Amino acid sequence: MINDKKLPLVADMRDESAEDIRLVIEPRARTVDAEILMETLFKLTELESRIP
Amino acid sequence: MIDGQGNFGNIDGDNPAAMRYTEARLTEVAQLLIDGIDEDAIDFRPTYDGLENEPLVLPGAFPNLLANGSQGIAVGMATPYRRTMPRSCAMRPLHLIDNPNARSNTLLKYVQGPDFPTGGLIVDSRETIAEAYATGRGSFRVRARWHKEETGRGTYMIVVTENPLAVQKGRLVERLAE
Repeated sequence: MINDKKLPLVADMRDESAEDIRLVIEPRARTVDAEILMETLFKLTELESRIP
Repeated sequence: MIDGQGNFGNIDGDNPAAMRYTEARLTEVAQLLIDGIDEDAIDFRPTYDGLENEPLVLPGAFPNLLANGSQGIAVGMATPYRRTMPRSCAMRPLHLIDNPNARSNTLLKYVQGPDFPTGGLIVDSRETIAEAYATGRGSFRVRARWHKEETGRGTYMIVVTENPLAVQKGRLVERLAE
């Protein structure tokens, strides 16, 4: 999705998990608001999902 | 319930190892379910083919359905039972024993919502959750838990530490990065 430019606010994402989960998301610019970035991610990805 | 040794699968969705590579034993909680079964505490009846015996009722000393949940699939319908924190699922039966006619609202004092093994945050309102518990229908919107980490000179990065249940981490990263 990052390569398809569906997430214009995100520059990079990588998985640094070891024992614990640790997904690192880098914003495209320092001016990007973290809350807004996460809202778009929640909307477009499985970071938010509906569990029956 | 089961204390395993070896590869039992992981959150990326990789499969567990074949059974010849793993070992397992019952935990104390699992042993509570069959506590006293060899002391003639309950009645047995033959199974459907008469080859073995099964308990008529198995009164477990641990509320396993509440704690571990369950899932039933039929034609055209399915019913998942969600897990609950062990402490609060012990309180609920205790309250029901004292007050058999307790309403779901009072029971919600002990159980505020399900407990997902992978963590995450429920973003539904308290009313929506109460409604789901009262009617037995509904679903929960679960979000990943995240925080901001400053990396100096005003730049930052976002770190996700818990993702919603049933979302395989490996697949999530794959889909996001592609």
